[in-house]
Amino acid sequence: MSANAAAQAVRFASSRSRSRDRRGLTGLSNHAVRPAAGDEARSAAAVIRGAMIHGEPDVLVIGSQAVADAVAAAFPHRRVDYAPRPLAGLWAVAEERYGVVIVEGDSTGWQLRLIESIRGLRADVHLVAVSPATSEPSARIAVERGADDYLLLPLLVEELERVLRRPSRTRPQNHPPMRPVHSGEPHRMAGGGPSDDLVQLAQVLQSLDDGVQPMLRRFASLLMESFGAAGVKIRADALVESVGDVEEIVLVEPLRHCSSLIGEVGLGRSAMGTYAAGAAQRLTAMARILELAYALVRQQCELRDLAWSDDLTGLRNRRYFDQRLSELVEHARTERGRVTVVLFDVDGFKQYNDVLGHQVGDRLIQEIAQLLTRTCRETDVVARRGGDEFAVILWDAEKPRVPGSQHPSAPEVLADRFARVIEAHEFQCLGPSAPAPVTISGGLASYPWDGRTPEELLIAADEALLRAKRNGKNCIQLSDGGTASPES
Amino acid sequence: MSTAVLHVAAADDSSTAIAAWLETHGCACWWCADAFEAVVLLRKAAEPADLAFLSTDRFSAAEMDLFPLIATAWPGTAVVAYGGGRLAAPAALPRGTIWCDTQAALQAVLRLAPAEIIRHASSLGAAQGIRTASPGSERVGGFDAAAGVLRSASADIMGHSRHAAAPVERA
Repeated sequence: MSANAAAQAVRFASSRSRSRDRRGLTGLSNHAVRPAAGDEARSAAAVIRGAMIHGEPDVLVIGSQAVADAVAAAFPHRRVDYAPRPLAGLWAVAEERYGVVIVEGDSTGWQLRLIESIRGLRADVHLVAVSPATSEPSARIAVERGADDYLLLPLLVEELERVLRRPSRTRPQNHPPMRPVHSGEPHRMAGGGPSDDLVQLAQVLQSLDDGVQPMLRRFASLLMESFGAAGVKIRADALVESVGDVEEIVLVEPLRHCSSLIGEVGLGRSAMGTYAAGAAQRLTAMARILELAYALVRQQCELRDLAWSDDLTGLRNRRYFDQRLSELVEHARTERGRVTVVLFDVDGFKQYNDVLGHQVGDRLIQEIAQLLTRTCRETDVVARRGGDEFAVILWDAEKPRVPGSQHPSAPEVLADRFARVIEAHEFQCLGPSAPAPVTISGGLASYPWDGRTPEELLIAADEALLRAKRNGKNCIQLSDGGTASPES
Repeated sequence: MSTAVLHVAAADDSSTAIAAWLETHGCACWWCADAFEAVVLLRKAAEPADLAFLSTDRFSAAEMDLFPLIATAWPGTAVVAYGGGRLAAPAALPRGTIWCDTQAALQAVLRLAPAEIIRHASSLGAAQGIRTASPGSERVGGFDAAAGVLRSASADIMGHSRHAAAPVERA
């Protein structure tokens, strides 16, 4: 279509016919664009330049002169250029001075491809599709493909102002130069096909048990491979997971939960060039699946949290403690680490219940739990094993053992510190009628010196605790190492 | 240093022959699914391609503007257009464009090494494209040969055709 043919498009004529009270665009401003005559207009790369105006970002209209004139009339303080030919318009979009790009078409075929390509070139530009009034359903597709908004013909001033003043929903970016892929590397741009996507998706869904972060990591890897992206970044609530190069995010899809925005998934630049047609639409679909997976795994975590928590104190319960101890002993075995189990109980706890009642006894347990949590490190596992019995796993946040290493002293220090904190603490729940000051006794056993299995460690720690009781209470006893079986 | 090639063809297009040719000659390749993607590449590429293969089979009329855009962005790049059965060649093909309007013509071009194709394209006059002939034409046969024969084929194309029924046009 030549520039002259574009200028003769009927759309402006129809907007002229609107009544003045609807503010139809019936006049041209001084800045209205004019097609240049002669060679420039006939060139495939021709962009008809409007008057140079400083201030607001320039507008590029890819479509008819009528639409360009309408935009120029509505925004007399902006420079408006127009390109009657789609590829010439796409070529011009790369010029950074264009802050707004308007693409006129029927929201099918080339207009959608043009919108996707513009997005591939400039993620930061405010992109608006203009379609005939009868094409609203397909105009919505233009938004799905990357347009920020759409307008229907004939253009009305108030709609133009509303849409063009709205900020772009995408992020600014810089485009690094691209280099060709060498033969021997994949010739096509996208990664695996749809069937690969499904297989990987199934694997992600099968591993929801592993928790939120691993699920996000796997999903990010899936997207990276599926889209042939240089990197993928997923943010969900406070969690952020990224794989590959995510310095420049070029395609973003929001993540929602119960209509609330919880984060976004973003693709870095395409590793193979530009994204294939329909990438934005595929990303939207994948984001919906991610939302579901995220909700599922969160729900699963909450349920598991309930199953692993002690109702009274909020600490981990015995079930969790036993499972975690097995995992950590196994980890210590393979990594030459050490694991220490400390068992505590409250000296003469029965008397608090008998004298002050079970409610006070419960509050005492809760207060001790809080003190214990505050005293231990974040990496330690603090649990209530039942009644007034607490247990802590101190595992190797320090360096692995070296040949000839000695029985660890740090766990003993921690346990002693806890005992002193309890002794010094004023328990408000007991009041003045407390039968005795609150003290605790504890037993400590460490892998591999005192036991080589979780069971051996627990027996050794329990025996140490009994010795502490026999030795007058209010102390922490180390295991004598007598329960350890020979190392296989 | 390997030849950098831009290949514009739809994903399901029959471009196996070109993919094989690229691999045979160890070319580095950009692949674009359509002209829009190619324009994005023209804007973002770090350096121009030495050679471009454009499958025009699926091109809309608007996408034919890719030819002058390549000439503008990468003036030294040789262009081989093929599969253009649906759309006629543009009236004015940019310099260095070989227009293969038959599969046989494309196959003939693909028998040449990258340097030979580039040399042949660059020998075309300014603002002149060439069109290979219709099926069965001797001029296609001329394209089969190595560089020496190719020059004569070029001369043939440039105005020594004996096929009045299917004249080779100078763009």
